[in-house]
Amino acid sequence: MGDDMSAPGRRKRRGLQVGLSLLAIVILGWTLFPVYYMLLLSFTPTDDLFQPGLYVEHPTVRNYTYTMGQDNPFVRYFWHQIGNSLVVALWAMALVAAVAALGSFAMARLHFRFRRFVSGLTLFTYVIPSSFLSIPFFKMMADYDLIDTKLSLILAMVTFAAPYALWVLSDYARSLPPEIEEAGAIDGAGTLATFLYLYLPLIRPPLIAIGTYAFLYAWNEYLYALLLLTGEPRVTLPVAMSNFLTTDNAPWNLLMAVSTVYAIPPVVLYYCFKRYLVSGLVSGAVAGT
Amino acid sequence: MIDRGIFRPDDRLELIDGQMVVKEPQDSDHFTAILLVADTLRAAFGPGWLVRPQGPVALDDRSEPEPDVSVVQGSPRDYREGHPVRPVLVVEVSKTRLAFDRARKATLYARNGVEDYWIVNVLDRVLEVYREPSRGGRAGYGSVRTLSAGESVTPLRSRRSARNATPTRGGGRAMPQTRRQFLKTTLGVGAAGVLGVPDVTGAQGQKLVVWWNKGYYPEEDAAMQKIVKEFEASHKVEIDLSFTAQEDLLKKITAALIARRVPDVAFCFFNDWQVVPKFGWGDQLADVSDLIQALKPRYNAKMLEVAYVMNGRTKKRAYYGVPIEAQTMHIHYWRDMLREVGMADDPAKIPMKWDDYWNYWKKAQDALRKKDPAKYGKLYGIGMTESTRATDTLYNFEMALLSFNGETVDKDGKVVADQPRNREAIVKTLKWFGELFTSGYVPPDATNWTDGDNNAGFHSRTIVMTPNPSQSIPAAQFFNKEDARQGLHRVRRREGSLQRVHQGGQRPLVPGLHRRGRRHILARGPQGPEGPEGQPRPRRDDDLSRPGEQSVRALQESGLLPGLRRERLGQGDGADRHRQVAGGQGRRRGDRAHEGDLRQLQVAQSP
Amino acid sequence: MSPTTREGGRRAPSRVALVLRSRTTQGFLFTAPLLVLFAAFVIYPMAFGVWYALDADSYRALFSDPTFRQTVVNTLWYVGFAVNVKLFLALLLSGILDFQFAWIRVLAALFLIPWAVPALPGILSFRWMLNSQWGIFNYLLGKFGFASVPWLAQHDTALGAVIVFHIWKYLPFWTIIFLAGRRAIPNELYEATAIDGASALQNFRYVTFPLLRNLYLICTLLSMVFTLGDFTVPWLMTGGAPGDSTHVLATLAYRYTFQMGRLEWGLATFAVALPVTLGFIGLLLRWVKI
Repeated sequence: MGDDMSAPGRRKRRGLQVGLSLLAIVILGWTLFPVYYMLLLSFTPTDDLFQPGLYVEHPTVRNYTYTMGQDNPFVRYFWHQIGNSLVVALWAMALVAAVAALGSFAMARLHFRFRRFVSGLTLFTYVIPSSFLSIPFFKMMADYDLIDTKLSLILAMVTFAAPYALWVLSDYARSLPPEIEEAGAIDGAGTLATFLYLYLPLIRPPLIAIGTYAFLYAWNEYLYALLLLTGEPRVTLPVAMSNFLTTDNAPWNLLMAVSTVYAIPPVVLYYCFKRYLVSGLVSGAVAGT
Repeated sequence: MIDRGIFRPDDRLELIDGQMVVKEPQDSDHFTAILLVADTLRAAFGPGWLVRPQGPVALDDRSEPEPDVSVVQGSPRDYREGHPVRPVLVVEVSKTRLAFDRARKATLYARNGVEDYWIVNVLDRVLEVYREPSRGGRAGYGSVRTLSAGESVTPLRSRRSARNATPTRGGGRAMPQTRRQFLKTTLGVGAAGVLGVPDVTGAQGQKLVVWWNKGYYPEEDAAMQKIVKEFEASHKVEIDLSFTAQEDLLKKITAALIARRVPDVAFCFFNDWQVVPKFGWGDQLADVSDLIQALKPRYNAKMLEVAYVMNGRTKKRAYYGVPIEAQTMHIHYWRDMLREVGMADDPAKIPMKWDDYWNYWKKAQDALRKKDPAKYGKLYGIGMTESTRATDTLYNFEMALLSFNGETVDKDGKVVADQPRNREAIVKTLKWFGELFTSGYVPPDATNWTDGDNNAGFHSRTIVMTPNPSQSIPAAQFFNKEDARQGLHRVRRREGSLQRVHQGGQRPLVPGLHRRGRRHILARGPQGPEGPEGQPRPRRDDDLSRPGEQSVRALQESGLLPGLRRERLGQGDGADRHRQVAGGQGRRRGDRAHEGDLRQLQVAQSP
Repeated sequence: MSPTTREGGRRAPSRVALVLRSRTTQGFLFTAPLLVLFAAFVIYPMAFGVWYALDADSYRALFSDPTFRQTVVNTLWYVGFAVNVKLFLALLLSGILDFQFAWIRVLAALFLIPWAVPALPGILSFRWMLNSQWGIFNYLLGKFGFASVPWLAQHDTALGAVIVFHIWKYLPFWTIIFLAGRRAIPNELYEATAIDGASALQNFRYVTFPLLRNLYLICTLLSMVFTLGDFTVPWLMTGGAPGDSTHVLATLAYRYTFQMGRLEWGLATFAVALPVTLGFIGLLLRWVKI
């Protein structure tokens, strides 16, 4: 729009730029200030914690050295905990990708009879708040004798992250040309071979997107991690952080340092796969139109 | 041999596994030992227990031994119809037949479930204690301890009823026993209201699952770990111990109880009012009355009431938890702030009448704000937590309610909040609580505080005084090593401006504080009269005249109320020192209980 | 079933092979992991929950509890107001991010940070900023001569804080969705209106919005359903304070279950929201293909 390069057009364009820049400053302030404040607190020495300000007067990295060196009772098992978070998130990522890829193939390419039924079930799981199911879920995990194992948490994460992944993948898969099956048929490949060698490579972009989604989902999970895991060296990082809050005396600057470290992996992952994420995650919702 | 001629010769034979076996020769040394043991045990067990020297015990069809001393429940008449079947304790005094007592007899007793078997080894002058019997093919005892002179041992004293009361799922008999011993051990060393839960999770194999409340400072967790290690070594069991912060732990315990997949032992600060009454009523907790009976002499009776709850199925009250800590409300205040406006910072000079006491902090706020509006513009006198999400609110409110002479539930568990006296007290308390807030002497955020926020407020020096049921405020001084040094610096500069005033009994002092040479002054707050060692004196009418004084004692009496939860009750290495401290102060307190003013007490020196 | 198997004069495939090759069987085989997960981890807990939530006494207790009534009102605010404001803002912002300037792309990247940062650290940061005594907001208000506000200590501002945080955290995600929706609109349409001399507003009114309307509706429904079950944000921000006045259904259910030990009330609280959720699912199923 407005691509004419006449003088008034250019002036209009510059006016637009200025207006947009002003808006952008407001948006950036709104977006970044809480994050900036988190960083600021993490560099604040305990003595200055209660002096509000827009910058740190005596910045210190002490909170980070405590965290990295596990040199404080609150972060005694920091590396264990971040390791647990990582293990759970990576497994959730892999399993969600596998389950959703298989499912989406059936939903989008096989046109099988009970598609509606499966999609209804999926959607149901997608919209039922997982907090509704937490206690029954705990009981069930106990019945399966999986309490206190990472597997229980991974299974929970896969269950709740799979529907959206399935949705995104099947939507993407439907947009693929029908030639896949035909090519498979010509080669004499069975359904499984078609899936493995023809279908999978084609859905790589949304697969990366939903893998990231599953990772973030598991990385952020608090309630289920709390209920299913026990013991400081065995819990995930968000649970350990809530331990900070529920205790009687929280060293907030240290908490913010841990928060910052905790926020780094998702942010990095997000920026690495941003390209896939935006197109991938969005397609599901847009497809509805 | 039978030089005293007391016993007939046929007494010297006993029936063991179908064989008649000749008993230990009865010389004077031996018999004296038996009498001494019997006397000691009578004193230890007290009424309701029968200590029988050389009485026959009908263990099974093929064995009717006559242990040198056996202890059974009841009175002599109870056994007119037949010999006792299951002694709670058997003692053999052994000189020449040591090997026999250690092997054949031990097997026999273990096979028949005698839980406590002692051999007085006269030769080596030691006492051998055999516990944790295992039945089955190779019957024997799992735990053997040898005690020499100077050491002491407490009988297990399991009542017969206890055996019937432990419905374990997949558990085997050894488990509840270990669990009981574990509970007892934690109490004995004085760690922290335990909840014993009957449905055993991973009970196959010798593994106890223990969920413990994370302590406020690492020393607490380390002490617990040490206890567990020692228990593991001495009882040859594996314990899966984990620490969780209280609010999260409550969530886990509740979920576990609802799902009926529970740990063997769970200790949470909130057990006494959020878990034990509700799930005791639901018949989901283990009846540990036998354990409490055994430990009763070491308890302040008031502490026990928190665990004595009604079971909705059996319609009977019983002990469904083992209280092992109590908590007192401490008052922390900044001395230098008071001095800054010329107010007395010496706890002895702070008024102790209810209204005067609270007005003192309001006065401090007014004076400080007036003196330096720029610095103290957002300062508040009283850091009273008033939010629904913090447990501190509950303690504060209930202490106030008791101070206004009201109660919501009576001794029998009846709700009495609608009685005129209690109604009035509740209205008064709410009014007082609300007015503190609305009159502007409590920080506005107090209605949104979590348990840690009054601490944060205090550290920020925007409140003059705050009540806090834990020692976390001073403990925060050494969470971060460097920060701690700075904190101490500040404290020294201000000459110990961080001030604690104790109400009621003592919490163990934090060793780290002393080592760093910090002056730690303990003083009494507005408090109730108490006898030595925290034993409440009998109620006197004039106790009720001063709400402030009354609060702590009333709290102790309340039982059902959660004010006193973290006072250490136990004995043992670490706790002895505390006991001495508490004892010393208790006497002082008792002496001066009616004076009604504050006395500064001596600094407790750590070794 | 594929033509190749029928050709070549080979023996007719066995019954087993036929069954294996049927679409239905293959469909079930490929969705098997998914179905097993649902059966094991969704249906079972759902059945347990519903069975527990069937007690009529629980509902009587709920509806006579003033906290519950307040909670319903709060939830309506949270779900109705927060979601709609958020999505409306997202629609507008997506228009800004749609401009093809290089720096807009940088802005878009930075703008997504709140979505990438986990909720817990963000809420902690908000809470510290909103502290009435040492929070930066009151500090700045004081600098400009305003009285300080106890943000989290009164119902309106506390619920407001929850809503503001919700918008802060989730606005980027929905903005990106709408941005994708805008980009999917063929450019020819705008070229056509440009010839008619349409203003930006007219463009939005007659081209953009009609084409985005379905997407907007679906996003509204989805976001409402998610927000209805949101526990983390309200719980960590206010925890119901002051005086249990800012609960939403999810946090109240948590409070009933874990703080009062009333599982049946907690599940009933969720069950109250279930018809609404099921209604949403029905609508979504009609509009959305999976």
